[in-house]
Amino acid sequence: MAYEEKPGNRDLMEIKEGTSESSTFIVRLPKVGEGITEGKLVTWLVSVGDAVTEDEAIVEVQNDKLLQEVPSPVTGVLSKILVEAGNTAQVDEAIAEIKINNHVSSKEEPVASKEEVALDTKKGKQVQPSKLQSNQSVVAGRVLAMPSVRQYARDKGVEISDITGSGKHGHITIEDIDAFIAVSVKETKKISTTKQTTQEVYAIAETTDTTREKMSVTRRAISKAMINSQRHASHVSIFDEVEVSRLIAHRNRFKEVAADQDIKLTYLAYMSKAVIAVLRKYPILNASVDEASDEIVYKKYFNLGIAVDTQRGLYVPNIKNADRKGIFTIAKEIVELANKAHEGTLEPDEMKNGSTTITSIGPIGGKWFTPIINFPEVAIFGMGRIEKKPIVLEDDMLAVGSILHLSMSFDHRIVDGAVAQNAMNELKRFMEDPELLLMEG
Amino acid sequence: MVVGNFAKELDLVVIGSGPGGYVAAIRAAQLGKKVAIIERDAIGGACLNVGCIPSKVLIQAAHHFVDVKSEKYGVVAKEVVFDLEKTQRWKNDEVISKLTKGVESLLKKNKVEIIRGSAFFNEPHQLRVVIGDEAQSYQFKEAIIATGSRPLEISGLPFKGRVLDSTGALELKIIPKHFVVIGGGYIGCQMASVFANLGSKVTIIEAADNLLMGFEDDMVDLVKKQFALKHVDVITKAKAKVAIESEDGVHITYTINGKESSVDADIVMVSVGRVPNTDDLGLQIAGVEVDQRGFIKVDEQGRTSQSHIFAIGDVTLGPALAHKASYEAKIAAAALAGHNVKIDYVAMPAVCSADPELAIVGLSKKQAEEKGIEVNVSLFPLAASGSAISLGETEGFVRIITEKHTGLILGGQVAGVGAGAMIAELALAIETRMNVEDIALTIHAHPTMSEAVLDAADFALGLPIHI
Repeated sequence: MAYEEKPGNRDLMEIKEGTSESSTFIVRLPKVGEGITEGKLVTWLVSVGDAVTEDEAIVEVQNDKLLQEVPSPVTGVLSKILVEAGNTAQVDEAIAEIKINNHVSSKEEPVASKEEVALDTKKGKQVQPSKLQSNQSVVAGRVLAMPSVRQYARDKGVEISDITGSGKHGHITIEDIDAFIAVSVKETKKISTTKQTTQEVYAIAETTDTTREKMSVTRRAISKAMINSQRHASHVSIFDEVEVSRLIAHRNRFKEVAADQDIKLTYLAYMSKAVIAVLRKYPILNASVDEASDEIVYKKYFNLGIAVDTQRGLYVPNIKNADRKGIFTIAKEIVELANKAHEGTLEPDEMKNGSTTITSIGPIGGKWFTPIINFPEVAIFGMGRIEKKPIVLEDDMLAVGSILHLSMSFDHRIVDGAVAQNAMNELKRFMEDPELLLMEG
Repeated sequence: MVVGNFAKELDLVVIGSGPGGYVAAIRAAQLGKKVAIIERDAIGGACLNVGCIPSKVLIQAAHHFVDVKSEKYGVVAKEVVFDLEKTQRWKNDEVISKLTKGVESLLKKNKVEIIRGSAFFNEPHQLRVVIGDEAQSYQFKEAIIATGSRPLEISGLPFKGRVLDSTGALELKIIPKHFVVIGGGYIGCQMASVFANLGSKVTIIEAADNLLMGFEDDMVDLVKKQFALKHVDVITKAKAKVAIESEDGVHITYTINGKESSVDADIVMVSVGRVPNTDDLGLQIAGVEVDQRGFIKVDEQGRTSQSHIFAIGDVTLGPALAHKASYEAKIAAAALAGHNVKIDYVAMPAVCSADPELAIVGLSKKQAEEKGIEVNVSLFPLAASGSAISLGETEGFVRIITEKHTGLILGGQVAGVGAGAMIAELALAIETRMNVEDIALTIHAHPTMSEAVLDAADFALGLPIHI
């Protein structure tokens, strides 16, 4: 029936006009640390079409071992991802687009869901469309397209407000929509092919006798780093043991001296010094593989990674230029870096450009294990427990010795077994007689 | 005879055959649906039978009467008599009956089954249709609710005797001496114009500050100017309290700021709004949600909280306009046929056939500015239109609201003869996102009223010819 107005009649017109009152914000990769120029986008935490609020983490960016969450600078709806997960972006490079509803002032009105965005625009108040628009094909909140063209876009599943028209005054034509589709099909194809080769996802069926929790950001980073290492490096592990009574005596002798300087002298500090000496003798262990050029890259620096187990997961900061530092300094820096790892205050730089890594399970009690290389390094050294054991002396007499258990994994692509064993022997030599470290270390 | 619960099977059932229902039924049938339509009253709904169409007849007839009586066109008659009874016969027999039969034959042509009776849901997928003492159940797959609205009744003035709703006023056979209108909206002002033109003393009692809410003040002023010339009393901010009927008239009491006054009339028409016909449909049983005022909640396609039931027209929120219902009808039908459609318009035209005729579409200057849009306003007065002068109807204007920097047409207001027809061009311009330049570059036939739109567009470009 068709006759008289009802109060509030014209609301309806405002709803329709409200739907396209938005503009696009371009998210650029922020500087995630001192001296950082690029970052690898590890995981997008939101998908296209998701509502995002200001300061909400939208993407995880990794530099070396540090994983950071990049917060959304604005409130809106994620409309486009420009750099897919797995790719590297330069600082200031556009990585995503967020559609902002112009009247939603970001902090006061967090957008909880798509529906709420839609509802909000219906209110249509205090809208300043002409000021915020970036798309010249949206004027006064209206997409410049005929009803039939708008229907065409709908039929094709295209968000028409994403398109800039080629027609007079910015009008969008059917040709513009077809061109837009052609481009996005190409893009999706690109994405889907890379996805096919790199991602195979294993899902586990939901059952009542299991519970689930979301992996933390650090956990996901560790998971990815481990898989990445396994995928690239050809892991081989060797195990050995060494009698370290002299090392124990040495440490006992200097423990007090160190303590006077507020330094906790640990076996790990000795091990660090020893590993550096080994690397110096076997430069192939302080190298990486450039897969793009099939070249072995030898490092002139000795940055020794120390695996630190924290409540949030594993971190590997490294002692810079450990070759130029004495055992006391190394011991001190290990404690400092470990504290930072526990507090979560490690700088990206402190985890970058490692030479090799020492991972120690001795304090907890294990003997041997097969550590995974901290890729793109090519070797990792594992320190197990020191245990009293019967040993056979040179004169065939039995005695009680203190045995340190050692493990080492290496990347067989560039390190052969003999080289690794020779390196292991060298390490044993240093650990057996710490005085050698003074001579050769 | 009462048939038991043997439910007949239907695919798509449309409830109501007004400009929402019959359009939905035809469109759905065109798109391949098997459709049945249920009507408890006359085919065509309120619009054809007791709304727009009969009003248009009376408005037009009254204009002819005034034109002849005025002798301004040189038509001189010795005695000009208006025979309302004869007008009513013409209206009912020649106009309404022709149109409703036309709609019925269109339904039949599209193989839409017509079921007579009142429908109510007794299950989410079952309807019961009652006609007289007969009832039949129907099992259905999908439904479109298009039951429309009815005049709102106020407690002190129940529709009875000399207190009429619009339906009753449109059926009057004798011109009232004093016609009182409660509610100065579209219906109120149109019927006031009709009877003022036919010589009745007319009084309009309106609760708001002004008549014709939704139209801009300068447009309403033109109507009020005509009312003043025809001795129509317009009483605003007045609340009608009670009507007491006597043998030869009706006594209406109203208050202004708590102060009581009264007026005597022989007929009073109450036109204070409309209420959706959603209360006796069994919507709760069907699981269809309504809001506090009884409007059915729908999504962008017209789908209700029950995904297989749609609602269109006056039963949903928004202006109670026939063309809104027809538009929504096509969307709902297409959605049911599996098309990816949605309600997508910015321009909802509205027309009031008072004197002069008013028509609006899109945004007014004020509405645009409230949205933070910078606008240009371009007004062309009909006094400068050759066509308007030749018709002797120079009261009014064409106004175009454009976005200041781009010239995008955002809204239009037309007052004057033929306003309702002229607004179509502006509605098209807005919906197609036309620029004012596009109108200026389009040839408008001479001598027609439509040229006033061209002149307003030229004005918007800063290059007016006729002013």
